[in-house]
Amino acid sequence: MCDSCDCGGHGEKVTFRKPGEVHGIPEQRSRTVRVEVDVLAKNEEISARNRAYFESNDILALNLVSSPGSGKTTILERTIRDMRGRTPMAVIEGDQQTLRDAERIGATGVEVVQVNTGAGCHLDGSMVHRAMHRLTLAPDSILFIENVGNLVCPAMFDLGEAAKVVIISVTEGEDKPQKYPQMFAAASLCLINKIDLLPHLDFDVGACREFAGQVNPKLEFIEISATTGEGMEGWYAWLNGRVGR
Amino acid sequence: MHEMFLAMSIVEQTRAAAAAEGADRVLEVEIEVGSLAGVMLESLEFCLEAAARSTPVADTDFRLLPVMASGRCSSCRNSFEVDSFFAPCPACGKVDLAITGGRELKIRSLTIED
Ligand SMILES: Nc1nc2c(ncn2[C@@H]2O[C@H](COP(=O)(O)OP(=O)(O)OP(=O)(O)O)[C@@H](O)[C@H]2O)c(=O)[nH]1
Ligand SMILES: [Mg+2]
Ligand SMILES: [Zn+2]
Repeated sequence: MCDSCDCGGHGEKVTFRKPGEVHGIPEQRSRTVRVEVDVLAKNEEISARNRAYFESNDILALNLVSSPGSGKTTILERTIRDMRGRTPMAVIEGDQQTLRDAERIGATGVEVVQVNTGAGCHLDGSMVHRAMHRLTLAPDSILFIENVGNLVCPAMFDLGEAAKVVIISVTEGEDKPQKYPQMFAAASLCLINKIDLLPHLDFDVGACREFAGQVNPKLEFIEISATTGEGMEGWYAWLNGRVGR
Repeated sequence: MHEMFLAMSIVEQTRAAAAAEGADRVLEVEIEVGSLAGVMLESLEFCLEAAARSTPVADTDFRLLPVMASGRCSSCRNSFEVDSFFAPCPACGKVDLAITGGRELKIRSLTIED
């Protein structure tokens, strides 16, 4: 509808007709073209280039995603301290503000770049691409990419990683996988963190695994505590099974 | 959230596609939004208006076309429409679903004036 009457608006075409002509000839002013452009195509293109780079240099790139505070940085600190000397590692830290996480990682002695996304709620392929250039990535190494704490938006943006690792801590609801199915559907591994706190909580690990399994039957699970170190060997075995291949 | 990023990409890609067609004006853009694309329609609509403001596509009608997601039961191969990642199969009752459509976000067509 147009603003001034009920004429039907844009759909209605002006026609021109001579007496005797049966059909009006609509005035041809506009045309519709099919374009079929994937809105995320540009990101996918850049991410595909990142992925090709990682693969041809035997770099295992992992995209770590979780709600804020599930323990991504703590897991990385411990992982780096335990695996350093055996496996070269580097980290890209994504946060909206501050250098705090990069400083924590930097204290472990590995190379790290902090990406501050400002208002942005996720990392994208181009941010990772630019961050990569500031790191020395050794062959047969692991590049950990800690995404912005958010279970919604990072699910949509491929970074070129080999796998997404989703972290849920037992202080969250076990129904997170149902509330954020996109993320659990996109992940290869789920780390269930802070299991040292289980005796004090009524988090049902079995139910959490079941909910996640409904969204993604192929999802693997490892239960860990980044503070006590419990279960971390399972995570290291998962990493060692993938790095340098 | 990410709807603003998506809106800015849509505006940019609309302008690129219109330029490639040699268009003077873009009257309408149709955008397919899958129900499992992780996009909120109201939010995207709002962001598109903001992203298009004071650009050559400020008056363009960005039309969002919702696309219902579909899935196939891995157990009995039945195909059906779904509204979540874990809908039980209406035929056999199992929750063993492979999503086959409805995750897309794409610009389908442009209506332009030359
Ligand atoms: N009890 C316990 N606390 C933990 C564990 N892992 C992390 N924490 C605590 O959880 C809090 C958040 O941990 P971070 O590692 O900063 O979490 P994050 O996911 O990196 O947070 P953002 O980057 O802000 O999204 C800190 O106080 C950690 O000490 C764990 O296994 N057990
Ligand atoms: Mg962190
Ligand atoms: Zn079935």
